[in-house]
Amino acid sequence: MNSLIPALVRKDLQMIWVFPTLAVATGCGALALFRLGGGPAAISGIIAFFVVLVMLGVTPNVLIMNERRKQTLAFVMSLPVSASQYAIAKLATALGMFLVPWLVLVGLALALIVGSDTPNGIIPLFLVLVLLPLIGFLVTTSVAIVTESDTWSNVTMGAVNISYSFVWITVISIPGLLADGGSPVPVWNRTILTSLVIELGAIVTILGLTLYLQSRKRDFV
Amino acid sequence: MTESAISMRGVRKTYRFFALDDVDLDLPTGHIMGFIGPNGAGKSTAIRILLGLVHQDRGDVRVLGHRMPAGQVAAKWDIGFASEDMRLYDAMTLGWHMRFIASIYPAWDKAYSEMLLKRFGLVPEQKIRGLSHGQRVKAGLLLVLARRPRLLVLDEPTTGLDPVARHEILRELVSVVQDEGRSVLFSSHHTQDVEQISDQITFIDRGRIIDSMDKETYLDRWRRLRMEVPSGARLPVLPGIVKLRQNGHLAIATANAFRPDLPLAYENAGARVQRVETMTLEEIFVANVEQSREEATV
Repeated sequence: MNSLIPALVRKDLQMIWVFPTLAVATGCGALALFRLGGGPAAISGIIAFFVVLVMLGVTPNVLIMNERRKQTLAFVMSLPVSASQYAIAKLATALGMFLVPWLVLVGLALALIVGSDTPNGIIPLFLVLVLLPLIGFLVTTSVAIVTESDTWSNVTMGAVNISYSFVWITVISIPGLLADGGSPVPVWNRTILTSLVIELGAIVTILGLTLYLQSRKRDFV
Repeated sequence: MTESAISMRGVRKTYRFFALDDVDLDLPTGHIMGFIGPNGAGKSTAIRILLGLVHQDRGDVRVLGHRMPAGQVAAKWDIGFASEDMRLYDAMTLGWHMRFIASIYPAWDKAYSEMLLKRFGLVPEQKIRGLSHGQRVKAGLLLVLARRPRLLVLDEPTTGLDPVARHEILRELVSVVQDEGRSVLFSSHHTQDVEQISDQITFIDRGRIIDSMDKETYLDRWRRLRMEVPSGARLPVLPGIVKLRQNGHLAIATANAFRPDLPLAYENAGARVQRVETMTLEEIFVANVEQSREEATV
């Protein structure tokens, strides 16, 4: 018999496709504001763009905790699926629902930077900054899947959302990250590359840890 | 067929305030077992172990020949599970749920599902959030029955239903189990429901199986003897009697291993046996639990 993972992913996508669609629409609005408006409007567009990326992190809470809150988990787990397969399906759906709008919006933002008179040297720093909401999203998703606890899930989501402003300010103040921001071409200096490697390492670690902890669970429903 | 649909041997599961203790359970293929216990007795824990959703600390569990929890995915292709606390997606329609389940199970019987829709008075276009509790239970059961599982595991499916809905569901279950290859584990604390459809009965209390046998044997073995006792006489507790209550001139003896010579034995002890009564499953259940709890406190 085939794995049910694709069927579970399809099911979830059918139920909450509206969230990523809204995120893309709002993100496009923010980018339009950035491109068309000048001065304060452009800054508002940038802020709105990052707020949309952060809000995408709410997806796992809707997707995973609702299954438990609304007592539909027993229905899913009565199907021929193991706890690990369930976790993979949830991670895949949550990742898809985050990554598709994230890639669309980041891609559009990059196109805007390249197509405008904004110095392209900002692109490496931009990538370092937009990877942070992806990490935050993975942290909240993993905590929701592994702990299955409303309290832990909400506390983590709150902490992650509050931490963005501090983390972004801290990241921007790292010597070397902004050094080549005014360059007409992207400069991949050592600090930028180290930051990207750390971020990608964090992503792989969180994914691996989630699947490992889920496979060790003894009680599921 | 003599092969077991369900077999549990020496199963133990310990929580902080509750333990399922050395549970042995056998459901032969083609039989319907009523799994009766008070609230918190361990029925749902045992059922979740059977489905692989909770892992036992020790003991051997086999369902349809699959060792659990390792074989849960393979086993669940042939298990239909419905429980009182299981919910469907309230923002989606019943028809969406039917298409979802049909896309998973090759054995989904479309004609049967449509017949069940009519029989249960359900409308596929209706969203789950618009259904009454009884309709939700019927919808859940429809999704389970139409996939034609070899084993049905029903955890308190009739709890909270009105008598008409209960009757409709029990009638459908009776017709389902006429297929001899299908086995059913039916957990409930509604002994009347269990009595209607089960041929095997298992009582569980405080995490322990306290008795398990076929229904007819239960009903045959349990009797209540109402007796008149002369002043000052004390009746003995004879073998086969689990409880003897004497109040003035009246005594009631409850037998769990009734023999035709028991009334005569009490007559010889000085009593006058007024009546020998059969007991309902509910009375047997209560007496069984009381006896088990008394033994545990001694």
